[in-house]
Amino acid sequence: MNRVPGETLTRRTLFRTAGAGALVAALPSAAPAAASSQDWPHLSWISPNTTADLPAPDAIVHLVNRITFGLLPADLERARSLGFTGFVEEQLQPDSIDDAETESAVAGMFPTLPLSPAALFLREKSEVVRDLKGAALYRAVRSRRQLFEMMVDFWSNHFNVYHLDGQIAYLKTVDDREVVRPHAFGRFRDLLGASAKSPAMLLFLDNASNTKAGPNENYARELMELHTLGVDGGYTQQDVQEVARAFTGWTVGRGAQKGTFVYAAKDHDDGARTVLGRSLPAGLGQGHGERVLDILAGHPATARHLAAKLCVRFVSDTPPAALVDAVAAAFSSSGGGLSGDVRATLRTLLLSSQFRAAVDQKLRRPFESVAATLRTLDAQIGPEAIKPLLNTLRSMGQLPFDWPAPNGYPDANGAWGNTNGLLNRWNLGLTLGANRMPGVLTDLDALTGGLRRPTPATLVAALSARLLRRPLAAADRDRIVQHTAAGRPVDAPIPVAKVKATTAGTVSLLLDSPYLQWR
Amino acid sequence: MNPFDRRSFLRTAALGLALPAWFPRIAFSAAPSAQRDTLVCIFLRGAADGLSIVVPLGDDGYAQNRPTLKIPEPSGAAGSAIDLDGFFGLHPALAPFKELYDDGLLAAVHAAGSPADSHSHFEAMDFMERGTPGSKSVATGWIGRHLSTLDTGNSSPFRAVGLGTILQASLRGPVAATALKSIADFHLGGSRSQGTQSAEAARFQASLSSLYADGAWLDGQAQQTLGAVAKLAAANPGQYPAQNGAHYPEGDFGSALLQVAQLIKADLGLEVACVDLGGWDTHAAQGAATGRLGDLLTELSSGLAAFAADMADRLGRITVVTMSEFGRRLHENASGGTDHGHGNCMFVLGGGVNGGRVYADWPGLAAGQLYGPGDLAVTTDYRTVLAEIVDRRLGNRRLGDVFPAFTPPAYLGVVRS
Repeated sequence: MNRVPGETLTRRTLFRTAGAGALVAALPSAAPAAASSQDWPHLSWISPNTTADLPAPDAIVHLVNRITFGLLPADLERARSLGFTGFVEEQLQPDSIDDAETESAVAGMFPTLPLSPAALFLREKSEVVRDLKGAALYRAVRSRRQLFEMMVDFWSNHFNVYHLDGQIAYLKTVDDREVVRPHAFGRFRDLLGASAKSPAMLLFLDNASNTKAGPNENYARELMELHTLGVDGGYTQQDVQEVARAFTGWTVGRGAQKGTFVYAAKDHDDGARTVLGRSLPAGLGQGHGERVLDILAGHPATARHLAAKLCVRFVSDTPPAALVDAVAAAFSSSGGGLSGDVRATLRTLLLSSQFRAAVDQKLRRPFESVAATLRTLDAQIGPEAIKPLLNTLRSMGQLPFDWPAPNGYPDANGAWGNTNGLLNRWNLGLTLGANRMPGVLTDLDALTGGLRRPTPATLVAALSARLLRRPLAAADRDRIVQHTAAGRPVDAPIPVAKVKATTAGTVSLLLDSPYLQWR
Repeated sequence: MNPFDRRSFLRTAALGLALPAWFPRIAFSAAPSAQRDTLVCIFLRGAADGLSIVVPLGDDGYAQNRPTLKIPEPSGAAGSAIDLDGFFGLHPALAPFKELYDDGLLAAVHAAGSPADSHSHFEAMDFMERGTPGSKSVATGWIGRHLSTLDTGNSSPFRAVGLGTILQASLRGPVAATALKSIADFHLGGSRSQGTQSAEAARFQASLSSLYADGAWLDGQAQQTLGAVAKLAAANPGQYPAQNGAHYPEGDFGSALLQVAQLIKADLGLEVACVDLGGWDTHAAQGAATGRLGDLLTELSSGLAAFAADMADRLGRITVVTMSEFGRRLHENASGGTDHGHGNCMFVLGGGVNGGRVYADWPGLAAGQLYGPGDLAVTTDYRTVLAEIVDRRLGNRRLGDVFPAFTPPAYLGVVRS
């Protein structure tokens, strides 16, 4: 295939070279028109032109797709009744949303969640791990505080620790409860401070063994590269070493204090230091680390880094620069002095025109895809469902807290739209459409709204309206109707004995279609 | 075997001269198209400690800077290094490599790596997989560019496979690659060991395919998926057990290598497979002969040794290469570990390898010889090694496209043409 100089590689030309072995005449730059991966240096999963090509849903469906994990009927109705801004504002105040039913179910199914470190260490590791992962999925599907759960997921990835790393198998439960959840909608400096003292984080990034005698740079580097400034945020190797020394002595206790934060003054390098051009005097003790966190939380590079990540999460893989700037400004000017307030920052993002316009820009990642499928089915999740659902997530590559590196799961379409991911999504749709997953209770009959003597045409109309909540392209509707008809006339009632199996097949086809893969 | 002068850059004395990349090849016949290796690219994620893997015992700076982590000199005792050439030794957990090395199938390249300065895992991996250290303006991976510049007439969905759930960035490019975690599970609906699909399942698959037929990006991925599912069902690679007594280690790495072997045996048109092994970021409690690093090296060597045994009949048409985003600092830290470094070692394994050698322009470990904050310097760009493999074993001469803005010095001679 010969490329004309200056021709933009469209998705069609890319697709046609795929697998054909055709030579590309020049070095493929493959940069989308709006921005190249150069503009997003920390997002190395960018692939070009990864957008959907479907008739757009209405604004409320787009909103619910974006700030919740999927189209749960009750949440969609709530959004319709409150309107766009009203639903955003309500979701920004999770304490005002009654979630007692979810919390009661979570407490019943995942009893290790509230335990102290000492109590957790006495339990079976596999049980503790399963409870936390299961609760993350359960809440993503059933909690009414959806935007809050999305932000818990966001910060869990931002401050990622690997669940299976030694004591972290127990201590991540504490980290989730005492670091991420209390501060997910709060001030970033508070979240950062809680993370810096979190035993799970101290162990994962080796700061627990960072001492005056021999500083360990791991946490210091990732604190700046991943948690705050970003890889191009302007810190040097010298800064890494100075920050490492600032956090010497921040460690995890032993014996009676096992699993808790302890500041060991004897291991702290209490000398003066310079970090990012700012001088810190000697003798501050634990204050060295606290001051570093202040500097980092309030740094403009941190505002830009976090704004970019939030825009990628909620808008698109290559969000408009103007929006990132506006969100960064909102972050910097909120929170009263030290750093941003998450809620205020989100409000600016979610009420922006760019957010409204970015329909179907983000491919659902595996965790979101599983949650969205269960939500649109309005499925109840019982204890027997946890294991098979977690296995599905493992096969798809996005089991909660299972990413082994500190940077968290990638958040770009190109990372997840691959053969393994699609195949697993489709198989889940087949299993759930046939109601064959233990512990998942779906009222498949209710999906048709009590339709009497359905024909292929009326069955597809009812199911697609109920499950997709968006218009089908005419050609796609015809294909699904033809599939449902299985050779019979599309306007003749389906034989009674075949209705159940036909419904299952059509539900699966709709769940597996492109229409539920995008948010 | 002649002793080597470690201080000079090694040029091959074996078959095939190491010509500069710019030398016109019109005097030579084109590589026969049927004789092309399958490349297996192993990425050790987390920055593996090359100084513990292929140990520079002959350099005094090693023992001086690794008081608790040093691997003892070869003595035959358990836990001591395995001598390779009188200067370098092998970590004892890599004992399965010694036979491959002695048989000439395995070579190491030391003080190798990327010239990029970054000590960030993610940035360094990104640069390494793009194949353009220091630059992120190219959105493709080096293997993606290799595949798109070499017309093999192979349109199999298994031409390039990434083992795992996320495609390795080096595979990104116009030629679609297949992400595969489990051959046994790689089917649409139905039971595990199905030979043919039920009529209803086939009907569902056809309807599903029709919903992803518009040529958009996701449609392309969907068609790739369905094509791969069909091809895999027909070829049934799961029917090939490990041969020659090969015993793959438990875990994802062993499972990935076993599956690569099955894909090759099933003649699915596999040209490149990418496999990851993570966990190498040993900032604390690294261990010397045993421990965290030792366990990883056991997994690596037993996996690759099993693969070599399993594929013994076909090893003449396979090249395995290992790499890591950077090495680790010479001086150990106070947590019994090591911090991020620079130069590292690579392994190359296969029937076409000029093995039984450690290729290195050894820069030395004295204070004035180290790079940056105290790291092993890089004297061989990793792209030199990869370019030689791409050229001589994969038959692709478009090296300026595979590695833009890079001209290798002479090849090391680590593989034969």
